Formats: sequence, structure tokens, C-alpha cells
Amino acid sequence: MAGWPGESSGERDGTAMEENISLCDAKIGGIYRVLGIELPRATHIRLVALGLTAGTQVTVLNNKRSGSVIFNVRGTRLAVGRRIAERIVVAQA
Amino acid sequence: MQVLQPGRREEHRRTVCGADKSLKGYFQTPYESRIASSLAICTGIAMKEDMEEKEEREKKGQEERELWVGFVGNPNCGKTTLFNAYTGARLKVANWPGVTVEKKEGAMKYHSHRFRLVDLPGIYSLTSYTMEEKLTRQFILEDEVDVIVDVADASALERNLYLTLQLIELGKPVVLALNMMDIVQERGMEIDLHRLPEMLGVPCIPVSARKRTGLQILMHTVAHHREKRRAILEHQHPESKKSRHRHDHHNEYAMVYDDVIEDKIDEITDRLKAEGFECPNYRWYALKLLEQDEEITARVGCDLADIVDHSYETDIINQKYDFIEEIIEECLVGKQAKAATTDRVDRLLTHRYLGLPMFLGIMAVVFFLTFFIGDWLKGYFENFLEWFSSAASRGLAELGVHKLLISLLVDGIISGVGGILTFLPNIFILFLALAFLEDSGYMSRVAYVMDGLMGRLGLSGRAFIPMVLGFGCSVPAVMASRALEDPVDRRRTVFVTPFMSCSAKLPVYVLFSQMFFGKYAMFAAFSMYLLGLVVGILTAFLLKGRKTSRTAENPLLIELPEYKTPNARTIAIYVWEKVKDYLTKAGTTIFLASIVVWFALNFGPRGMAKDMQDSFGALLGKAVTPVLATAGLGLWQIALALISGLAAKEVVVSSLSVLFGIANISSASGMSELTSVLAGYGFGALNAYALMVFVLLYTPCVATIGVIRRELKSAKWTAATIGYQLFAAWLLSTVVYQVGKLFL
Repeated sequence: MAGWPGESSGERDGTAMEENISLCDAKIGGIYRVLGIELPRATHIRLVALGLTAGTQVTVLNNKRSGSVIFNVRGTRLAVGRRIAERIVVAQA
Repeated sequence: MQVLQPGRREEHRRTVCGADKSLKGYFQTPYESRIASSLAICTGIAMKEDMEEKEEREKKGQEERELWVGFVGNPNCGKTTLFNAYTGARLKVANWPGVTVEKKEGAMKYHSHRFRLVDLPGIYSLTSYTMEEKLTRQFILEDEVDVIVDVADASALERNLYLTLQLIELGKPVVLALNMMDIVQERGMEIDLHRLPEMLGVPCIPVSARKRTGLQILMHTVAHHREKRRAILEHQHPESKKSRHRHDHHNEYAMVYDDVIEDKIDEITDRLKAEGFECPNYRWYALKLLEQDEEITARVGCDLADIVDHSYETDIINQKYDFIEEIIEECLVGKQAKAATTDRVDRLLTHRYLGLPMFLGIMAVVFFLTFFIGDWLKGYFENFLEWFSSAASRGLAELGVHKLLISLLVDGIISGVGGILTFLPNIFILFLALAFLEDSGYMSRVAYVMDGLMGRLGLSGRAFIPMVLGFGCSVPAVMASRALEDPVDRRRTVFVTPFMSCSAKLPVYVLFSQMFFGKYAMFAAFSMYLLGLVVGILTAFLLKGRKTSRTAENPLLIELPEYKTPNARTIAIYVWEKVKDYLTKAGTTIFLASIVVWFALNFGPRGMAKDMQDSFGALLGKAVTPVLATAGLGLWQIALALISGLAAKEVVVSSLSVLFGIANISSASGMSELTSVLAGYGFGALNAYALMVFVLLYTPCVATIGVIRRELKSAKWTAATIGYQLFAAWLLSTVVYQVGKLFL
């Protein structure tokens, strides 16, 4: 389950040594864990409020060459443009 | 009893009472009044326990009893459908986020309770980052709402509960309406409806707005929970998540944060009280201060720098979701069962390469249906009109009515308005198809498909949605641009939207393409839709200017809802609205325009014009012809028709009927008559195509200009829009005509 507050995603990451990639480079059908979001506050908070909290698992449903990505998070489907996708850091779950 | 803040609220009440008489006529159809009375019966039985209390209040006076109910929920949760189910208000329901930008009000009554329902914009949270969220928050905070009905999509409970937790923290009575319970069942999921209210501390009512179940019980609950209730049960966190704070907070607040945040909340609350800041919900204010919410921080104005050392916003959100995970764990059974259908359909519709062709294909199907089915139905309309117009003409002559008056009635009104009415079937099919697209959930996919292309224009894919809506009518399309957060993006979208081929331009295409292009009529008309898209996109590109890479600030972020079978009622309401609009327009704008055109043609500077050439209309038309001549539109009749088309684009067609005295312009005989008349002036297929291009692009109707003015809030930009569109129309139709002449 996701971490209790205070526990940063980095700590848990210690055991799993997978590569950190941006959501842009995620494979269609892959399941990833969100490690961090490096976006201006307003966008960041909007994403987190939509359930994209650190440690959440996302399933990538579509990834176009232009970089816009569709993924499933907490039972809902979100589409984000490249400028957002490239700043969401994930690791293979 | 009820905690009311005096002042503003009382004022509101008074205005509401004043408008009360009109509310009685609210239930217009028998169906609606039946719902109303069945609600009355239902509550009558179930509210017996309230009888004494009720009688007491009855003595206090009638006006006390209106209950304000705010409908709040995520976009796509079916909130507006639910709202419609109660009020019967003919509100537009669209299946893409952000369509309800304004709050809408409706009224209903059952038993002795009057309800005023307010449909607030669809939102995901209560921050102050977006207009919709600010609006909703302010509306609730200013005590205009007695009870909040939180509409949640039960099939996506996890994300929907996030807003629920925030609403509960606002400290108002909340009733959770678990919508789409039918879908939950279909997917084999179950929700523990006993544990859920225990954990949240608010009543949770399963409903289905589409299937119209649970509606009475929901309003019932609202009536019962209009006052904040003390919860009885306590929720215990698991051992691993112990905290020193009492866990019966959901008496009021549903959830407890970790010790750090709870301590800070206590500190801030004490500080606020000490500084004399008064509010009914200190906890919510404390949380917002911890999140460093700009608006609330400014409003409170206390220095809390020692307590709020940084923004705790992310922590607060994370902990809310942790609590939601606990709820889901305990209350949702069978959550693995997911709807694979949507994903499978999406694999095709949002495909890397196929997405765009699929979109164009779908639009082609829409227009194919509009033309073919529409035309088939149109035949019946024409026969009727032909009969009516000749019967009227004969009847009036027999009655000895003056020749001039017969001419006004038959040549002016019947041929003008009637000609437009024959296009009703085309309009009906077009809006039916668009309603299907909107309600099925496809629109947000279009935003995703177009994001790559729009990104190159410096716009988010979301700006494409108003453009697609523009195929229906520019007025709601221009308003839909409000969903864009960035004001510059909004302005560019408003600029571009009128280039989309709206339904009012359809009669012009139908008429001219069938007159001049025979079996290629469909392609000629469909090319207009493509051209509109291309010009719109090019315009967006031109407007991009030197403000480079604006995209960094406003990229696409949109939810893709589940596909669903469009709801018959929703579609019926939508299409009926449009058909009604069209009929109203025929009865008002086009009616008046036909009369004005008739007068303009029959009167000149020297009174009654014997020859049309001397009429006011001809003079006005001739003044403009030199400019239009380059586009092959140098006929004063065409010029006059185009000018009158500013009232509404359909008027171009109705004016032509009046101008050339053709009784039934869209019938086969009417068309061949017009074709031969125009051919006499040397007006052929190329001229017709240039005319279609001009009509597609030139200044939109006055209604659209009004909306553009309102949305841009600037006369300068509105004038610029109009000027640019006129120029674009002239330029492109000229290019089409001149280039075409080289080849033909």
C-alpha cells in the first residue's frame, strides 16, 4: 500500500533498483510507480489531487510519439500532454 | 435550529420569495408534475417523525422553509443529469469536463418543503487554482447553501471520495449521492453501504440519475440532514497508524491527519480565536492556511509564519488519499473487475496514427447522415410547404386581400420562413449525431488525439473541443472556451471557433451544393467542414505570434470518462433544445429579416419601387458588389443576401427566396428555377463554391458576436475578430474563384 506521510518515495525506492524514467518513456501496458512530479505548484497540486500521489501505481494505456500519455490512476483515466508527462518521474512497479 | 448568517442570506431569501409565483409554473410537463407529486407523497409518509417540528415551523411562516441544496461533484459524475432529473431544467449535459462553468439554479417542491437546487461546476478539489473551484468554494463558504449534495461516480469511488473529504471538512451538512450504482452492479462490484457512512460520518445514498432510481430517497435524506448531525460511531485506524488524537473527528470532519498536522491545526485554531477571527469552521480554515492557500491566507490576515513553516498541501492530499485507501479497502468489494471495453475502444480511437483519421471518419459519418437522412425527411416538408404556399395565395386572393399584402405574406414571409423550415430535418439529424458524440464520452478523446497538432500551434488539445462544438452552433462553442484556464489561449480559441461550420451555414451548403454539384454535392459540402477546420488551425498558428512555447504553462490535462451508451433522455433534451432554438429563430429573426428584405426590395428612395433595381435593397447591394466581384459574387442580390445573413446565416437562403421570388427554394422545382435565374447572370458552379466559402468564413451572426463580446470582455478584440473574419472570407473566396477560373 502507499506510504504513510513523511515516508518519501525515495526511501522505499532503496530496495528496488529500477531505472527512474519519465512517464513519456513509459511503455504501453506497463505498470509504473509514481516517484515524483516536477511541475509548477498549481499543476503539481492538480495532479496530486487527481490521485497521482507519490507511490501510486499507474497503468499506461497509450503513449503517442508527440509525448501525450493516457494512463489509469485509481480507477480513472487521465490524458496528459508531453509537457506534463515528461516531468512525471516513474519507475517500473 | 438552523444556523443562518444574517445579511446577505436574508436578502437572497427575499428575492427568492418575490420570484415565487413564477416557480409554481416550473413543472411544465405532466411528467414533471407527476414526479413532483410523487415526491410529495413519499415524503409525506416518511417524514411523520418530523410532524411536530414541522407544525411548529409552519406557524413561524412559510418563507422560512426554502432549503438551498448545492450539487457538487467531479466532472463526468452525472451531476447535471441528476440535477435535471429533479428540476426538469433543460440544462445542457455534456460528457466532458468543465462544461458547467456557470452555476445553474432550479426549483422543486415537495410536501411543504421548497427546495432550491443549485448546480455548481464540476470540480476535482477545493483549491483556489481554478475559476470553477473558487466559485464553488465561495458559494458554499458564504453560507448560501444549507445542504451539500456531493454527487460521486460510484464506479470511480476512489478518486471521487477525495472531493467528498474536502466537502465534509467545510463543515456543512453533506449528503453523499453515490451515482451510477447501475454501472457498479454491472461490473460486479459492491459497495458496503453500512460501513461507508460510518467511516465518512455522512449519509450515503445509492442513486442512478440515468435510470432514475433513488431520487426520492436522496431528497428525503437532504430534508432530514439539513442540520449537522452528531455521528455516533468511531473509526479506528489500524495499529500501525496510531495517533494521539481522538478518532471521532468524523463527528464533524470524517478524517484525522497525522500528529504533525493535527497539532498545527489545533495551534492555528487557537491563534485564530485569540486574534478574534470568526468563522464557523476553524478546522477548514486551518487546513487551508497550512496549504498556504492564497485567498484564505489573505482573508485571514494573521501572521502564522511560526506555525506554517512551509506548505503542507501535498502532505494533506497524500493523507486524504491514504484514508481513502482505507475506505476502499473496507467498503469496496470486487474492485479488480474493470471495464475493459473502454480501453479496447480507446486503443483504436486514440491510436497513434489511426486517431486522426478515425476522428475525420466519424465527422464524415455525421455529415453523411445529416445530408442523406435529412434530405429524405425534407421531401415531406417541401410537399407540405408547396401546398400551403399556393393554398394561402389562392385563399387570400379569394378573400380580396390587397395584392401588396399577399406579396408580403406569400413572397416575403412564407417563402422566407418556410424555406428555412424545410431544413429542419437536416438540423435535427446533425444535432442528434453531435449529442451522441458528446454524451458517449468521445469529446475528451478528441482533445487527446488533437493534442499533438494543437501543441504545435501553441494550444492544448483541449482547445479543440470548442471547435468541434462549433459544428453545432458557435454560441455555446464560444462559451465552452471558458474551460481553458489561460486567458490568451481562451482568446485565441474564441477567435478561431466561428470558422467552424455551424448548423446555420448548413442550409446554404445544402442548397448551393445540390443546385450546382449534382452527385458531388456531399463532397462539396463536406469540403466546407474541412476548410473551416484548416482555416481555424491556420488562424491559431498565425495568432501564435512570437510568444514562444506558451505550451509549457498550459499543457493538456483531461480526464477520459468511461464510454457509455448515450442516455435517451439526455439526448432528447439536448436535441429538443436545438430544434426549439431553430424554430424560434425561424419565427423571430428569420421572420423579421424576411419582412425587412421584402420591404427593402419593394420600396426605394422614391416610394414604391416598380423595378427592384431601384429599391433600397438594390442600392445597398450595389454599394458592396465591387468588393465582392473579385470573388465572383458581384451580383447585388447575392451581396444583399450576405448582408442580411448577419442576422443569422440561414437568412442568406431565406433572403434569396425573397429576392428571386421563389416560393419553395429547397424543392427540385425551386432549385432549378434559381439555378436558371443565376445562370442568366453568369453565376455558375465556381461562383457557388466561392459563395459557400464566403458564407463559411465571414463574420458570424449577431448572436455569436454578442457572445464573443461577452467572453472577450473587450470591444477592441471583438472588432478585430469581425474584421479578420471578413477579410479571411473575402481573401479565400477570391483565391478560390480566381484560381478556379484558371482551370475551368
